[in-house]
Amino acid sequence: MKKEFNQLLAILEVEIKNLLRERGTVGFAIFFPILISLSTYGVGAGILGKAPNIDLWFYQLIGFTILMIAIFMSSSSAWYVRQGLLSRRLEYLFAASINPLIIVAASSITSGLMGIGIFLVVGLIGVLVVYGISNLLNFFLATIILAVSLIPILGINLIVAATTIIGKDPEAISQPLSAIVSTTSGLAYPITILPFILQIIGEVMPYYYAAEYVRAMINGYLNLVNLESFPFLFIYLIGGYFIYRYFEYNFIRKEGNYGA
Amino acid sequence: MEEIEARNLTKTFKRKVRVNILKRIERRIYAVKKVSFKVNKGEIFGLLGPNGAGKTTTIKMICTLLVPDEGEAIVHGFSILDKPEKVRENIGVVLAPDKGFYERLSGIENLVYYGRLYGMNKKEAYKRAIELTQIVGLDKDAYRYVEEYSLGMKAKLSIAKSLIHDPPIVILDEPTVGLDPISARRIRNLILELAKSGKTILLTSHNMWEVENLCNRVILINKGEIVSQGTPRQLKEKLNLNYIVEVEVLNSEKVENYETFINDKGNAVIKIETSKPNDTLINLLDELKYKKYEIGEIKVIEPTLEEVFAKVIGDEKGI
Amino acid sequence: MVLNLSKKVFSKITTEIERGIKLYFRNGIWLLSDIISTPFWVIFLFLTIVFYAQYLLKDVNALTSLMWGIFIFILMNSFIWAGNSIVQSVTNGIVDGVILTNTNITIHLLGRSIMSVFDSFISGIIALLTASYIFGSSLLIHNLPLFFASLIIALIFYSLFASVYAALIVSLRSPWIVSNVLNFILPFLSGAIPPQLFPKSVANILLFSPFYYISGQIVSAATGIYLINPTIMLIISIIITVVMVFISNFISKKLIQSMSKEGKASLI
Repeated sequence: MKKEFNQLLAILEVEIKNLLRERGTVGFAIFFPILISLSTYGVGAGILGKAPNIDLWFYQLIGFTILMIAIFMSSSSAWYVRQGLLSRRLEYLFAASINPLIIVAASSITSGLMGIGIFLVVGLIGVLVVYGISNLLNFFLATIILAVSLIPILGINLIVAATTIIGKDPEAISQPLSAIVSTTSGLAYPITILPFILQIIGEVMPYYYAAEYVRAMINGYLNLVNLESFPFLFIYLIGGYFIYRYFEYNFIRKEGNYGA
Repeated sequence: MEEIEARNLTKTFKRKVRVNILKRIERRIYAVKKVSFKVNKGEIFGLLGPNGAGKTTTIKMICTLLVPDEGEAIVHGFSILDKPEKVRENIGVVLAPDKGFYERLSGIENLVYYGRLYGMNKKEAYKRAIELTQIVGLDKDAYRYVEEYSLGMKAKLSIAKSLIHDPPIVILDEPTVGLDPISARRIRNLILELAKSGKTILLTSHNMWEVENLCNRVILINKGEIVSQGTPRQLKEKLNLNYIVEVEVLNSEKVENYETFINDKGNAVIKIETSKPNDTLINLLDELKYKKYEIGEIKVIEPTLEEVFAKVIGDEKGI
Repeated sequence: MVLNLSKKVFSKITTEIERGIKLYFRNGIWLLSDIISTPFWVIFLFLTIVFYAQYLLKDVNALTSLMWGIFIFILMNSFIWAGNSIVQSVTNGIVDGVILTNTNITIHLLGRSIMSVFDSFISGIIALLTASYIFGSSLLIHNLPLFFASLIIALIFYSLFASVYAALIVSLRSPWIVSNVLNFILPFLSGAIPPQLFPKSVANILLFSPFYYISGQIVSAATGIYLINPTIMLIISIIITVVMVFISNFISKKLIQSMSKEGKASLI
């Protein structure tokens, strides 16, 4: 176990260093939710002819930040597998005495940490603008809630990584997921205004809960009853693990599909 | 008649150099400095040098992808500065053998694409593409997507691409790098055949054996400057490198006054390092005959270009 | 000689277009990805825009304008990514190969632009059908000849714009960031958000944006809602497109000059 933990730490360290050198990506991830939420706020103000309620801006700001994290995590899982296969880095790692899941988990944890970092910066700006310092403690607790909520999302990333093994084009794989998540997870608007079937899709995915729990925590009305469906979301993690192992065994190790 | 004439080609690049934690300044660094050479029609001419010596920069200037800061080159009678379009029409270039292709097009489709951009019609380009894939030995693989190609297949396709418009001059930058021995030999044979058909070849390599076996003349570049030039033999002579003369003496384990080693047949072999192998061999054979030794196999081992390279570059690096 | 030259250019253009069509239909996974994603993106964009004014969900005129706004959003998005694709062409060594054939970079980018045309067409139709089915937007086109004329002008303009944009971003370390930001800014400058929903003084700001005359004209022709006289708008859009021909030609030459001077593609 100690060996596995050290391996995880080693990959994490390299991945985080690599990520921190991509300053543009980090900057964009922080800038984007602010830009989009302000743009829609501006459009809203234009249409209404007056400034809309600032709480609505905050609602979208949190939603767009979680959207950004979701897109970032799924896209980076897909790219990690694709680039790893193309550069043969995964081949070397698979040849080493290391559980492949540690490799994928390390990559997902890196993007998760990055996501929490983005949330801390963007969310803090939002909380200070809307609530001042009064909700700061709630905000930091919400960050912990977000970190826990991201765990089932790792399962979805494992499925994305698995699909990339055969689908090859990372963006083409992660784009539909981003589209479905954006639309159905109540990130930019409440899911109650969606057609019924889309509401169901939203409610079975972990992103909806992440956004709802975080908003509720910041506003101070999160309680255990709200959290009752949360444990079921861990099915994604277990499912993702088995799906990934199946694809890895059948398409990489058995078919020798390294690279192409 | 010269097909390529480079006159004092010089190129610098901007590089940011850190002065201290806060400050980085921009400096111009010489990639190539006053490089001049001439390549005759039908000749295979080699640019030899270690990594980062300036070989690719020189080639890129000659094929008009880079403009020299100073100097000039005339290619097939056209100036690279005044008539770059004409130069491009008359050269075929392989810059990186694995690049320059659309992965989701087949080898043939890639060749037809470039052929048509060179101004051929579709039918002509297709006919020429099929002809070239057979010449380079791609055969049926030419119909597969490039994404399925090995490095060797891509190298063959690159050479076919450089010949699609049948240029009189072919410029090859490390055409066999990373290839297996069979593929590399096939490419080398192809280069020899191209030269035989009258094409002028300018190639870079750091494979000494390859350059020695392919090139009529060679220039040795290091740190952007020419450090030696001539035929491979001239380069060796200029540096006064030693030949090795080996003479096997039958039925004997020692020879008086000479350093020997015992070969696998159990005979003594005299080994002498000399810059004048002919004189040394004649004198040695006379002496052995006089002393009634029975002479077996005689070998004169020429110094390789690799030794030239090691001496020139090594001397500069203090190795 | 002029005839010979234009024949040569025409042949290069058809070569690039043919290459673009082949590559587009060989990337089946992208096609599938677009077909799945587009309806979701349409719903997302609609609801995000009307989030502050949900009463608009009952206004068919507003929803129809919004639907056409999303159509032009898809069109612009596709061409922005076409421009972004030059970065890949440079890294793959294709741009070097193309320059060696004496082909203009703008012509080379046409191959990618044609993929954008297909992409816009397929995704655009899915978007229109989704908006009509889910939100009840009207699919009737008010002025069909003007609609097609403005669509053709937009396709030409954005093909040229893609080459100018490509030249400007090619040296950046993370060009996709600029593309993503532009992706959201350009529609705002193009009338993708129906200008009639805003007070006149706010809507009139669009008249200063050249993109409005290109993209907004498509929306206006489809909905019959004009900010200015349609004939004047058409003339201005043609002038802007002609100016773009010169700009893209100039920028493309500058890019090749810079590549041959510094050994890397860079204009900024």
